[in-house]
Amino acid sequence: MNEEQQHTHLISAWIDGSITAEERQLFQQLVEKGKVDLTEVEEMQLLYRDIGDLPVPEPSDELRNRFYDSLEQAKKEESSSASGGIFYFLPHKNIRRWGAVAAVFIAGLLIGNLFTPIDNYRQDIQQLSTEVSQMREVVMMNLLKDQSSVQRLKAVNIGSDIKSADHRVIEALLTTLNNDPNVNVRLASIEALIRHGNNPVVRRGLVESISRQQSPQVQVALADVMIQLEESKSVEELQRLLDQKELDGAVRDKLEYAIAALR
Amino acid sequence: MESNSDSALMLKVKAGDLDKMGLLFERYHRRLFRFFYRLTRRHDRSEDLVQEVFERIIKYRHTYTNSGSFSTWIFQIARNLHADHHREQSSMPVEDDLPKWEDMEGYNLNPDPGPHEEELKLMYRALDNLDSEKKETLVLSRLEGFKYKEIAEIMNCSESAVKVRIYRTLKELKASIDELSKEHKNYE
Repeated sequence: MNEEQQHTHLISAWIDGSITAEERQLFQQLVEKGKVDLTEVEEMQLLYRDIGDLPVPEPSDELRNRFYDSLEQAKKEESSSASGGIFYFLPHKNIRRWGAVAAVFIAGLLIGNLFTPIDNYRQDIQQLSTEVSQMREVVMMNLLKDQSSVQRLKAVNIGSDIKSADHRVIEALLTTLNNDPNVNVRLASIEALIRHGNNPVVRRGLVESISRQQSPQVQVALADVMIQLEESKSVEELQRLLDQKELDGAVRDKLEYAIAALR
Repeated sequence: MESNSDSALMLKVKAGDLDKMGLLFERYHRRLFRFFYRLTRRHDRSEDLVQEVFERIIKYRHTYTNSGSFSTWIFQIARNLHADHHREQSSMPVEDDLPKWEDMEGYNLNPDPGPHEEELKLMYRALDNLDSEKKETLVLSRLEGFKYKEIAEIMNCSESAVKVRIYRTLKELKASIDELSKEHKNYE
């Protein structure tokens, strides 16, 4: 490295603050010998700092919407290609297509001729399962209106057993989480909602619920859920709660931990 | 490796858990937007480029190797995209005649700008005069907080070259601001 290069390296390191103690000493010696113009370097550093202050607007919500739309599209493509995965060993696209057609044809023959009784049986089971889910939903909705917190707790537990919960179940559980006077019922509703954590409505509902909760137990439980679901959108809500003056010490610690983990 | 680290999330995306891409988007879209905005000064174009970065990551997720840091990897993609975009724009001669959209959107339209705003304007114009490589180096260092070594990785050059580039860019920028400032005073 020649002398000029060495000066350049030292000045660049000095400007962005990455200069080591040894380099700093060398830099000062060069200044004292008049080989580096300190005023000029200071002006450059000031300019470097000023550039950081140039205003930049925020991206719009449209960007976020576009991204999540394309992500959903990619997920659909992923699942459709996974379902055709057994033909991936075939080298050519057309061959794969014909392979799929042949497979569907053979499957049709087999199902039509051999497994008709099993198919009927499966259909019956499916129908029965749907009816049980609907029955559970009706029972749950009725129990949630009950005066007794024990009954409402039962209702929430029933809700957590419904595997393919529709929007009414989700809405009922979220309403319970936000409005039920009993802490245990609210905690149980969180447990029930986690089971549907892939549903964006549930995730949003859980995030929005953070700032509505007064109970430290529920606040801590929600912070844990956010970590479990890796829900980074909750940081703002968690921070808002953390900014409240009258906050339990344990809750404060938990919120700080959750915010750090999600950032 | 922490289960929530960028690299761990990207490895999960690579393995097919595409939902984790949402977390990476939340962590990086603002930084990328800032990066592109500094280079293009176009809000709409910067958003398009951010979207393209994430689309490219989803499309080529199987190529992720976790050999360096995730942030340098994503900015490498961003930089390549900007280079492609810049090439396309350079081949369109009408571009220079187009208005600066940001000038039409807000803060630069003040009829009686204060001294600080004048300085900002001059700085913007001087930055616009820099070539793309110099501008990128400066933005990655000052605005994105990358170390010279990381910038070298992103820009596929030596750390020494980055240091020289920073020095020369600041010198050029300062000379350009002085020149523009003189022109401005003469005009007044």
